[in-house]
Amino acid sequence: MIGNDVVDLSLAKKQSNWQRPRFIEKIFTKQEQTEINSAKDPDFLVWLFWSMKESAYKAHQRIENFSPRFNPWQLECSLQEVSAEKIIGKVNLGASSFYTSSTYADNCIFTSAASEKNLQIFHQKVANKSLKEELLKSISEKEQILLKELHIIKNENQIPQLYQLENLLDIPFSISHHGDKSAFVLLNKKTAYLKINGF
Amino acid sequence: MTEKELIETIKKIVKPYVQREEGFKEFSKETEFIKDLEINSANLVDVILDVEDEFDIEIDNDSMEGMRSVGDAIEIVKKK
Repeated sequence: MIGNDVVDLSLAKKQSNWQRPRFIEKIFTKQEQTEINSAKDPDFLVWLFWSMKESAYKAHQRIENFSPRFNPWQLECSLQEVSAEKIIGKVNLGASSFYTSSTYADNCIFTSAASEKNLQIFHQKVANKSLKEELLKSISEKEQILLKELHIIKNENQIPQLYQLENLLDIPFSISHHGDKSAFVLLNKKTAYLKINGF
Repeated sequence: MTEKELIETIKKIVKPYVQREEGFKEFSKETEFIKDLEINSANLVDVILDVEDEFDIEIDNDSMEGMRSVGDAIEIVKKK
């Protein structure tokens, strides 16, 4: 299963003051707090960890279909590989692990998480106003389903699900937006591919 | 504080974080922070900290996990 998250760093700065007393204690583990406090760019690390937690939470919620909860401190982030192109990380939650990949572009962090290693995830950045349209178009092309038959309905736990006419489709996807920046991730069961488009 | 006053206080606290005004117009005990008001999840932490400051209480992680609606927040405040 997969999940994703987008953080627009300039918008995050406007919306949240993570330096506010007690803020980071509510979200981050002791280990994460230590890493944030000693980071060269604490602001970036705060939102990188945040997007990893959000993405992993979404993947987890899609597996177990639980009602929305707020438990960021239970998701433990670690960074495995940091390069200019991407940041590979891992998020542990109890006995489960989620594997994350984050990229930084246009002052935004785009993260995807997967419940299994080496899943071929299609990750596309789009403008928020056309997010659902682009997602459905993509699914329509990859799965050879008529675009007009596809639609998204949220289930009882607020998880968006894909339908072809009346039928629920088993195509894992996740969407995220922050301000006017957004992205979707998609798992294609028929063919494996990996493509990241520029914003 | 009466329940009505509690609802009003919480309403004042969440106002700056609301992204969906329609939800805010129908503010009640049943209102859910993320679903109805589209408060982003990072700002949910601000709501929790503001509630702590306003009522001079500490909300532990377990209570925080279940704080989805205005009613949940009121229950937490009442218990403290």
